[in-house]
Amino acid sequence: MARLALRALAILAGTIFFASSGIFFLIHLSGDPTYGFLPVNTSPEIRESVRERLGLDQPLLTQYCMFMRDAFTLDFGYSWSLRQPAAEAVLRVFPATMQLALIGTVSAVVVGVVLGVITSATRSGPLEWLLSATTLVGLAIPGFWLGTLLILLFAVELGWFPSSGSAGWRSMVLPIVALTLHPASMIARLVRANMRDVESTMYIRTARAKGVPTRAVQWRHMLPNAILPAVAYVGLHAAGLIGGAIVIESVFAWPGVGRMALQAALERDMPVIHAFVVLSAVMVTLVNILVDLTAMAIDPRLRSSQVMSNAT
Amino acid sequence: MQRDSVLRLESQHSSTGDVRGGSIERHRHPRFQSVLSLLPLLPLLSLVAIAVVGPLVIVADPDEQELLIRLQPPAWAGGSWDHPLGTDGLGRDLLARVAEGARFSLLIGVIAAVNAGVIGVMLGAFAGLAGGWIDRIITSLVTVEMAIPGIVIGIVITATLGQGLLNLIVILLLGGWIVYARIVRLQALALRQSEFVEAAHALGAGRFYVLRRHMLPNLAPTILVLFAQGIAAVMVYEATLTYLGLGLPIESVTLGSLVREGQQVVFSAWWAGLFPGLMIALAVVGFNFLADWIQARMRIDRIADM
Repeated sequence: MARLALRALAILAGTIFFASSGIFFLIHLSGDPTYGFLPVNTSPEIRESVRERLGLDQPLLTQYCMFMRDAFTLDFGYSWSLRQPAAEAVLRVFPATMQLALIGTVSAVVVGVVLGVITSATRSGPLEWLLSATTLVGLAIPGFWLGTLLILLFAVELGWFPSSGSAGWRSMVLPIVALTLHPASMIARLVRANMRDVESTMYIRTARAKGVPTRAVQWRHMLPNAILPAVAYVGLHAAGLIGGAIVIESVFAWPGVGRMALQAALERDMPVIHAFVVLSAVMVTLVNILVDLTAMAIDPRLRSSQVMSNAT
Repeated sequence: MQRDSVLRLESQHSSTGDVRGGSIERHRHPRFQSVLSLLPLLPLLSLVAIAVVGPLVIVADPDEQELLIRLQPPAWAGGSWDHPLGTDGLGRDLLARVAEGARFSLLIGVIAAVNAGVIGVMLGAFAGLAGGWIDRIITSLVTVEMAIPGIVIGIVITATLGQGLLNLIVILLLGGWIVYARIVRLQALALRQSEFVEAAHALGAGRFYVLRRHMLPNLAPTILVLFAQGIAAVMVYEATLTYLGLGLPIESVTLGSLVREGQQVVFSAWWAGLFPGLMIALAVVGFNFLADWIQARMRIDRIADM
């Protein structure tokens, strides 16, 4: 446990360090940062006083150290476009994104595992063909286009669910479906393939021979041994899943950090961007910790000392 | 001898982080291949045809606006054959725009994937071959970047450097090299322990001679497959970025920006967002089929992008 927490913290600290360094470098690479947010015709005196107030007249190394200190104390400065501290603004909409990302991930795992287990029972036939076709479509359709298609079908044509906003559970259905399809397809394929590998082992033959019902063999004996690659997939693609939630937010006008960050990017509001990058690293780390805990709950061998996911 | 021997990959090696040896197996390419075996390449060929031949054949100008015939449905749904796929919100010919967007997206996808591949393969092979602190630096770079979603990289670059073609390619490179580096590094680690590399070392071959003469030829099939999968991934990445308005100016014609334009008129025109998205799906299926096809022909086990 301690090792796991330490490793997650080390990766988080490394990510904040590298990302902040990159942002610092990029801000100063693109010239005088004040040109990013002050109007072009600002008088030189005002520009100079703003530079002084923000500490931009200090030597670069001093600025870098201050920037880093602020990043690790989660003090990203004042957002000029939102007129409030950037960390506060991003933290306020953060739960909405986390909600979308976590529910989407859980539903992807559930759908993927159920599909994978059910179809692993038959070697070939219409069921397998159907799964291959569905997962192929699921892997080929990018999330944002799937979102557009869902709006077209369920919001415009059928009128079952709202096309945007965040009012009640009905507005969550389409974003969650859009988030689920791609990872669920991947997980279904992985689980199915691994169930096949496990099927030929001796302990499954033993279980069958002593008269365990087929369904119990599948879910109690085979699945725990076949699910780990799927769990590892979630861990390795945590960043992709969070990124997917950020994209889906702007498709469905979901009030989360993604939309705020996109707006900030176009307005060059760097404090918000910086807060957003650090927070998304925190989100990925959280998902990774959850994945490691899940893996340990499934596989007793991992509880001893080894950390199973995050194998790069 | 090296040329017709192919490295056999253990499936899903990367999920557990270890590669269990690379047994070498010889095989001959089939001398004749039936037309049927080329069938999986059909989606890719049709995409390339639309992207390359399309803009030459289609007479309509993708940027010409005719406001009198805006939001005209496709020809079979009540429109006219002047605009086979209908027109968009400004009366521009959708077929011409889709072909133009496909050409741009395909071009950017190939350029970015090849460059990301070269960087990733070099760093991955270098890390696996050199080991020690070089390996540790490259591995931690990969680990750190895997904790940052690709979209976030796009947002940061757009916020600091602004929009532009070069910036888009930088974003795609930053997001694209990791897959190559991770998988090639694992392969290189396994190869380093194989007997023929040990033999070459014993005969006095230097590190880079071994890399060039013994390791890269053995890595070639893997890299080829990764390239095919990488182009598909980069095209989706690019479409997602341009859909969000990141990387390129808002008026650029790419498949992603066409989907965004289509979504703005989704309540009155289903076709405007449907066809550009279909092209993206065609690209993903096409390049993944190509990857499978290469794998089947070279008899390497499936490389799971894990």
